[in-house]
Amino acid sequence: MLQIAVCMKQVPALNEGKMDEGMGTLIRKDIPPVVNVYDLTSLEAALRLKEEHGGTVTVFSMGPESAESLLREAFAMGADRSVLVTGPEFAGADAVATAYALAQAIKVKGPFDLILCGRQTTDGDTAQVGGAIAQFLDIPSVYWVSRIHAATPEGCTVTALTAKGQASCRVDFPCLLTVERELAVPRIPGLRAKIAAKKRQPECLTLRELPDRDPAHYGRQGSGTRVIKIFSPREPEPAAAVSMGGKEAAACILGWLDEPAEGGIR
Amino acid sequence: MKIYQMEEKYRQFAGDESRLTGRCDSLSFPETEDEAAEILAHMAASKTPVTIQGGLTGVAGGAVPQGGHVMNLSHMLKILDYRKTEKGALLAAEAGVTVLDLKKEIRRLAGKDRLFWPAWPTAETASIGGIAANNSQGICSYHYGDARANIASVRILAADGSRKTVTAREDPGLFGQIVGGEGAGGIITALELTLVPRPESLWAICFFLKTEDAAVRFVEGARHIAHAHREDAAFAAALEYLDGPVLALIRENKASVAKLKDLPELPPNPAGAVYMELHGPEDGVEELAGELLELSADCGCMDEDTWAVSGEAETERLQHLRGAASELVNTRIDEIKRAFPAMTKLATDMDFPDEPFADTLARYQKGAESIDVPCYIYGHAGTGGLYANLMPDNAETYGACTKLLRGWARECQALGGTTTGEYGVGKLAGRLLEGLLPEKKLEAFHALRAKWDPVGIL
Repeated sequence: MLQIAVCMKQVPALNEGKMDEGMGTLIRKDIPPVVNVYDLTSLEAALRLKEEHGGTVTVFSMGPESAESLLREAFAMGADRSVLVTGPEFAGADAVATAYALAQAIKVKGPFDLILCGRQTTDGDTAQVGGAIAQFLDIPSVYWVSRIHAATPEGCTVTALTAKGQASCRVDFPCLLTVERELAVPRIPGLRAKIAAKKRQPECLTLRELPDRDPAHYGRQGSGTRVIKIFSPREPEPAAAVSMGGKEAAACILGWLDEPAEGGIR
Repeated sequence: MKIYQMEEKYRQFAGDESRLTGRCDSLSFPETEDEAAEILAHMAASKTPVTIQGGLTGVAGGAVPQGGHVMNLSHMLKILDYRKTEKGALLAAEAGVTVLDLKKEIRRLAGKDRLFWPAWPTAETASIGGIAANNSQGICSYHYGDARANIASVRILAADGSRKTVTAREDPGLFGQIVGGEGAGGIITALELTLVPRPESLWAICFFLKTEDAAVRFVEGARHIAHAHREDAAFAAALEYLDGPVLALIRENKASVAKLKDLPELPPNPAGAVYMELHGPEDGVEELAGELLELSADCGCMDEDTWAVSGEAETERLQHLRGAASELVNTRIDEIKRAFPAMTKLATDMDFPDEPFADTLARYQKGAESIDVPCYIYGHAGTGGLYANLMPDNAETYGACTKLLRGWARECQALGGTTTGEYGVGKLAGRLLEGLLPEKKLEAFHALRAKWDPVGIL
């Protein structure tokens, strides 16, 4: 029997949001929220492990009350429990402050054998929360997992993407995995499950229910980083293709490399 | 005025989704109505026939040139005006704007008002000009009506060079002829679309039925439930059908169609599937969903035989299942065409009024079986507007399919139905159903041509 925790986040459906420059946060109002697609994969992975080995799946999310809808979707897919970490103290958190809050909640509701996170979110794109949670819980972690081969009560064998290819390893429980989308296509809940999920309430955890109740460790206060600007990359200007060979091409390329680069970055 | 001579690099503009291949001598891509007028006048002076094109997503061959000049409006992309109204907004845009562009612009302009255009089809590359010319029906036409019901006015550049704006309210007769008139007499250069608020709650549900009998019973039952709630705050906006062969086609090709990769594997061997959308306040939608759940259970559906999502993004994901039907059927046509170049789309677009769904389905299935030709059936189950796509692979069976289509058209006319709908007449139906085309449509074509195109260039 495996006790599995899954961390999930609600993100804006579109990457067209504007930024609150004073707060350094994305303005999410008026953009319909969706479940982060990577997190749907991690929930699917958890549900498949539960179906194979027995156990429970508990979903954690940090966000405003509106994030309850995410947790009901998780119920509809098959999660057993859901926990919403919510309160004004948590607002404006960067990746590490978010990870800390989730790790605290996991400590309250645990222990868990396995914690699954999506590789990254589609709004922040930092891909740091999973690793930071593992650090705070002092457990081993593997990132970019594309396949979970086998799980026993003691641990699991996984394949993970690396910069140069793939690597397989065995990791003991408790551990944390961040998962790639290719690991699984998330199921779509049945209608009966979706209707039943509407009636279920997630548990809410506020600051006072966490082991560390110091607000300075959470939200904007507890964030070591702040977003200064969100912008789309400048589209490159159309360039003409030239054809040249041998020494001429080499000399041309060396000339480009010698030119002063913008912002000191080549 | 830029006119290009036809050459190999423009070959894509010689056909559309009908898979008819045409020919032309020259092409243009006007960016403004003035430019289009100048080109049209030039062609009129030399009595050169002009074929108007939009997104090339039509399946009746309306955009396939048969010589002469092609005027492709895909560069007319301006959003002209946006005004809020009591019920939503009016958005005026040039005819080349695609559904994809439209969605982005509505998000940008409407902002927190959260509006949409109910007539947009699943084909996101379709142009609004083409949608209007064919009076297309999006999947939510079941509740919101066809394109005509969701357009406030059209801007026409007539073949005689005159330009006018025709509104639905002030001139419904002429408006009704132009929208669905397939470009007869004039070019739609711009439109004013009626945007309405997105529903508070939006659920999309797919029911996979194990037997055909169950699928038919479900559709009939769903129609009954939808009809009972049609005036309520929560209602069925879409009721679409996909038959077993279509689902098998989707299953076989799922891995190679980008938009299907995000969908899980289909339940094993369903005999048919029904896609529905429910719009309205959350409580009402949930109640309606509950009624459909009971119906599905009566028809043998287990929970794993249903998919249910909510919200715009997830609904779009499920809509891809329905959109894939058209795309994969057209891909199948292309496969056949490699060995049998004369192959074209051979599909029904008929309306048998008040006929039970079971009868329409049986008509198409028995007909295809009688000539031993594969057939893929999908479409608007709510209104009975099903598309039966026949797949002959040689000249003999192609001929048999043509006869079958004409036989169905005769039956349709005998029952007081219309033999072409949103696909349009175009070149294909015009040829296949000669003598069996809807009188009202032909009258509209003649009236518009007489009014604006005496030379007959459009």
